[in-house]
Amino acid sequence: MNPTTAASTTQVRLAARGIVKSFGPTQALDGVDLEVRSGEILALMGANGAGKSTLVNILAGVLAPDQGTITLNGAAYLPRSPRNAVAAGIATVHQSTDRIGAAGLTTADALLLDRFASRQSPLFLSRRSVRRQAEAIIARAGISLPLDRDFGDLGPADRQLVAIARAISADASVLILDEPTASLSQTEAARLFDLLTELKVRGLAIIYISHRLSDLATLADQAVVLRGGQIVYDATRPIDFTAAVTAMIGRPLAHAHAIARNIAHEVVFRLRQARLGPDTAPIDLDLHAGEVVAITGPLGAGKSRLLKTIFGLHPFASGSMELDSRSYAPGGPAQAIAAGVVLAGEDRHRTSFLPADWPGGTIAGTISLPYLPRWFPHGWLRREVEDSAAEAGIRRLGIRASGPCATLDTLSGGNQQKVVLARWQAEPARLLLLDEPFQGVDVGARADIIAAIRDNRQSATLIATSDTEEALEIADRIFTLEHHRLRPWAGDNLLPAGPTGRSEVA
Amino acid sequence: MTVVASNPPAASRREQRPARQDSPRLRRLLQYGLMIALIGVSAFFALMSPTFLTPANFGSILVNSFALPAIIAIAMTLAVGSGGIDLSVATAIDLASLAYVSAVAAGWAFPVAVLAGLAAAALTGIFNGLLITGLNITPFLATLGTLFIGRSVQQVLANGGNPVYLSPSKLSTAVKFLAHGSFLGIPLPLYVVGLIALAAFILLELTIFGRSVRAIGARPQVAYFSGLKVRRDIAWIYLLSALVSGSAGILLSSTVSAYIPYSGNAFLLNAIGAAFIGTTLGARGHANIPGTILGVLLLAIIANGLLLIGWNFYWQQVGTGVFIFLILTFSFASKRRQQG
Amino acid sequence: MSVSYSAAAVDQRSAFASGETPARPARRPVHRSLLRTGSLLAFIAVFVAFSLASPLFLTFTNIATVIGQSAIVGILAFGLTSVIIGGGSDVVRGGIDLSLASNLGLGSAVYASLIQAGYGDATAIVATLAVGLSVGLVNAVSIVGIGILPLLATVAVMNICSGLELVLTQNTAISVSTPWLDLLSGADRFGIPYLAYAIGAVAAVLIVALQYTAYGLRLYAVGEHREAARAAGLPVPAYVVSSYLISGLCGGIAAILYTALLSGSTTGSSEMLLPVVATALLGNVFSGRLLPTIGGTLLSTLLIGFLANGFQLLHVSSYWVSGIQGLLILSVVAATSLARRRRS
Repeated sequence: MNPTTAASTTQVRLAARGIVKSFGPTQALDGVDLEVRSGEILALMGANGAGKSTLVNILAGVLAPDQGTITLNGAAYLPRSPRNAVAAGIATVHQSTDRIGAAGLTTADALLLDRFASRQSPLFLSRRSVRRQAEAIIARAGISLPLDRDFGDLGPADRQLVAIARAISADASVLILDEPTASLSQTEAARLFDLLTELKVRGLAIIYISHRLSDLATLADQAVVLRGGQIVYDATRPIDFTAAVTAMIGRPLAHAHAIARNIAHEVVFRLRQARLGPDTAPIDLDLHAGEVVAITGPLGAGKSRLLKTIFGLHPFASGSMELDSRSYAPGGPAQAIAAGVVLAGEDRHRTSFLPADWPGGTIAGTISLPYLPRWFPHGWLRREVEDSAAEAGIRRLGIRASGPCATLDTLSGGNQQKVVLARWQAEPARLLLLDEPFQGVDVGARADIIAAIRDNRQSATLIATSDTEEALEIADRIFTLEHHRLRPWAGDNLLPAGPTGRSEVA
Repeated sequence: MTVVASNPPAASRREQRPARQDSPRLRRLLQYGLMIALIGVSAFFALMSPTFLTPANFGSILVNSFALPAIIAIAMTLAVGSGGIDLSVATAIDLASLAYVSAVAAGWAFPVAVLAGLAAAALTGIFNGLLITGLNITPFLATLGTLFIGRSVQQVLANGGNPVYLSPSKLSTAVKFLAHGSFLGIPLPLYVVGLIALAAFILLELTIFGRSVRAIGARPQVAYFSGLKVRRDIAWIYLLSALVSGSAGILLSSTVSAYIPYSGNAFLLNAIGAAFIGTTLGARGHANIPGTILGVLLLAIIANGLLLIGWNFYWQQVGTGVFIFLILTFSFASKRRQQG
Repeated sequence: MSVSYSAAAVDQRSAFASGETPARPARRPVHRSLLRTGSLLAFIAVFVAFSLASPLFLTFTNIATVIGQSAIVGILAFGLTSVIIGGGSDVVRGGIDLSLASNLGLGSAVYASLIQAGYGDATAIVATLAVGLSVGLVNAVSIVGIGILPLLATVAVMNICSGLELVLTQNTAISVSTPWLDLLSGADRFGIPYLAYAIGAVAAVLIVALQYTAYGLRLYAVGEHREAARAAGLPVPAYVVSSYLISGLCGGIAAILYTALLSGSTTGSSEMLLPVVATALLGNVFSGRLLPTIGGTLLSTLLIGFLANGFQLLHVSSYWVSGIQGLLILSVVAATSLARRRRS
C-alpha cells in the first residue's frame, strides 16, 4: 500500500500523525503531524526546547509516543528500540559522533559494526573479509574513507560518513541527520551536501535538523518548524525562511538584537597572542567591565576549549592572560575561582550539579560548593549561611522553586540554569564564562538570565554559544571562532542573502 | 518494552516542572529498607530461637561479631564515600597490629604503643594517597597494589609471617582494659566503635571536608570544576581510612594478645559488603555511616541467628551469602524499576 | 545510585577535556607502543637475567614446570580477562569477576567429593564443568538480569561458593587420586607437563575465539564502547552474559587441573584471587592498544611465574614475590595511564 498525497507525486515514506509525548507534567509534543517523502529533504527547525529532540528520539526508536501513529512505507511503525528502528529502515546520525564507533576499532570494523548483529555474519572473520565488505559498503555509498585507520583518529566529518555509509548499506529508507554540519568545515559540508543530493536521487527520504539557515536554504525541499511541541510552520519549496524563523522564535528577528550600550573603558580581562594549539592562530581579546561578549562558531571550533583554557583546565600553547592588568595564569579551576574567573560549564549536569539525593544536590548546596572554605573558615557547615545565600539568589533571579532545600531535579531547565548563575553571582567575580548557557532553557527563564547577565556592571562576561540568535539578544560584541581563529562576527549564518539561499560565510 | 532511557529532552515552553517518575511507596520502602530488614530478620530469629533475644546473646554479638567489623566498615565507608574503595584496609590492620604488638612486647608504654600502631597504619594511608593522587592510579588498583606490597612487608618484618604472641606479663592493665574491660556495663570496644562512628559521621555530614569528599565521590568533574581541592581531600580520606583500620588492628591485637599475620583479610569482604549494603539500602542512597553500622549489625545478626537455630557453621556462610545476595537483588532491581 | 569508584583518577581525557568533538588529524600512539615494547623487553630481560644468574633456570624441565604450574592461575586469569574485555578496560566500572577463586574451590570440592563417593572421572569432570558454568550463569543473571554492580554481585557469589565449598569439605582437605588425575598432573614422554598443554590449549582456543572471530570483535566493541555497540544494534546483554559464562567455564577447567595438581581439594583456593586479578590486569600492558587480551594475560602469567621461579632458584626469599607483584601492577598502571593521557 503506497499512499500518495495530492500535493506531491512522490510517495510518502514516513508519516506521523498526532504524536503526543509528555514527561510527567511537561508536554514535549502536542499533536505533531509529519510527512516525509522519498527523494526529498525535510528541514526540521525549532529552538531549544521546542521538541525536536523528542520527535527525533521517537522516530529513532529511543522513546515511545504516548499517542499517535507512525507509518513507514505504508506499514505501521512501532519501534521498541533503536535496533528495531534501524532494522525497519530508519537510520539516525546523531550530533554526537561518539556512538558511531569506538577507538580501538578500525574504520572498516566500525563500518561493519551493525552487520555483526545480524545472523548472517560468518563465525570466522578474517581481516581480509572485513576489509572487502567495508570496501563494498563505501563503494555503494560513493564515498572514500581510510579503512585501516583507527576509528578514534577519525575526525567528525569522516565519522559521520561512516554512519551514513552504514545506513545506506543497511538499505535505510529514511535518514535522519541531527545538526550534521556543526563540526564540519566548509569543504566537508559541501561534500556532505553533494552526498545528500545523490542520496535524494536514489530515493532516500531525509530529515535534516539544523540551525544553519544557509544549509537549509541549499538543501531543503520542505521546512517544518516546531515550537512548544507543535508544528507552527510547514512549507515546501520555495521556502520563506524569514517566516520560518519568525515562527520559530515567536517574533520577528529584527527585535532580537541587543540594545546597544555604553561600555566602560576599564579592561577587566585581556588575552594576548593566546594560542590554543601549537599551530593555531593567535587570539587577542579585550573584555571590559560590564561588557557581554559572545563567541559563536560551529561545534568543534574551539569555543568551549577557549573558555576552559581561560578557566585553567588546560594551558595555552603560548600567549598570556591578564586580569585587571595583572598577570593571570591559573593552574586549575580552584585558582581561577580564587582570582575571580568562573565558568558555568556546558552540560550543567556534568559540570555544576551534584546528584539530587547527595548532600549538596540542593539549590543551597549547589550555590555554596565553590565557596565552602570561604564561607566556613572553621570547617563547620552551617545551613543558615547556605540557605540565606540561596534565598538571596532565588530572589534576585526569580528562581521558581520551593526553597533553598529544593533538589535540582525538581526544577525546570531554565530554573536550573538560574541556579548556576546564582552560584557564580554569590561572590563578586571579575570574569564570568558561560558555555552554551541556554541549552534546555525556556524562553521565560532565558529572558531573566539575559537580564541578570546584562545587569552586571562590575565584571565582564564571555559567552560561548552556537545559537546566533541568542548571541544577538545578549551580547554587546559578537565574535566567531572558526578553526581556532577569532574574528568579528560578520552576520553570516542567519539569513540567506538571496533567493537561492547561498549566503557568504565570511 | 525496552526503551533506552536517554536524557529527557528540554521542556517545552509551557510551564515546566520536568518529570520525576517516582513511586512514593517504593521510595519509602527503599529508604527504610535497612531498618525493615533488621527488624524482620530479628523478628524471624527471635521466633525461631529462644536464646536470640537475650542480653547475653546480644552482648556477645556486639562484642564478637560487630565491634571490629564495624570499625573496618567505617574505614571502607570513608573511601567509598569519596568515590573510591580501599582494599588495603587489611594491610593497615595488619601493619598497625604488628607495630603495636612489637611495641608492647618491647615494653613501651601503652599510649606510645598505640601511637606506633597508628603510625604504621598512617604509612599505608600515605602510600595510598601518593599512588592515587600523585600517580593518578584508580583506588581499586592502587589499594590492590598496596595490599600485595603489604603482604610482602609483613612477611619480611615478621620473619615469614610468624605470629607474635604477647605473654600475659607483658600486658599492661591498659591493654587488658581495652580488650576486656567495660564501663557502665558496656564493653570498652563498643565505646571505641561509638567514638569512631561518631567522629566519622560528624566529619562526613557536618564539615566542609565531608561535603567536599561527598561531592568528589558523587561527581568528580563537578567537584573539580567547582574549585574543590580534589587531590588534597582524597589523600586525606585514604589516610583517615588507614588510621581507622589501624585502630581496629590495635583493638584486635589487644583482644587476642597477639599479632596474627594477614588477619586483616578476613574482614575485608565483610567491610565491603556492609558499606555497600548501607549505601544501597540506607535512607540516602550514598555511602553513609549509620547505614554502614546497620549493615554490619545486620550481617552479625544473621550469622548469629543461623548459628542459634542450629545451622551448621558452614551453611551459615552460605546463608549469609544468599541473604546478602537477596538484599542486593532487591535493592538494585527496585532501583532499576524506579528509573525505568 | 551510581558509585563511581575512581575519584582522582577520572580519566582526564574523557572527563575533563571533552567538550566538543575534536576535529584533529590522526595522532600516532607513540607512547602506547613504547609501553608495550618496553614491557616485552622487560620480560625478555627478566628471562635473561635469571638465566645468567642461575644455571638451573634455562633448562627445559624448569621452564616446562613453570608453565605447568602457572596453568591454574593462568586459566582463571583468562576467564577474568574475558569478563574485562566485555566490560571495558576500566575494571571497576565495567566488568569484573571476583568469584573465580571460590568457583575453583567449589569445583575442586565437587570433583573430589564425587570421586570419594565412588563416581568416575567422567562424571566428576562433567559435574565440575557444570558447576563452573552455573556459577558463571548466576553471575551473569545478577549482573545483567537484575542489574547488580559486578563488584558486589561477584563478591556475593564468591561468598556463597565459599560457603558451599565449606559445606562439602567440612573445611578439610579431601584427598583423592585416580589414574587419570595422576596422569594429568604428570608429564608426557618429552617431559612437558600435561598442565602446560592444558594452558596452551585453553589459551589457543580463547585467542582464536576472541581475536579472530566476529564474536570476539563484537565483545570488544561491547566492552570498549557500550553505547556505540548498542546504537549499532548489538545485543549487549547477551555478550556480557557470554563473558561471564566463559569465566565460569574457565573456573571449572581450572578446578579440574587444581584437583589433579594437588591430588584432591584443599582449603586454600581463596588465596588465588588476588594473584589472578593482578595477572589479568598486568596483561593489558602487553597489547598494542593497551587492551585486555588473552595473549597479554598469558604473558603476564608466565612473567609472574618465572619471577617466582627465578627467585626460588636464586634463594631469594619468597617474601618478596607478593611485593614485587604489587609493584608491577602499580608501575604498569601508572605507566598505562600516563601513556593514555599523553595520547590526548
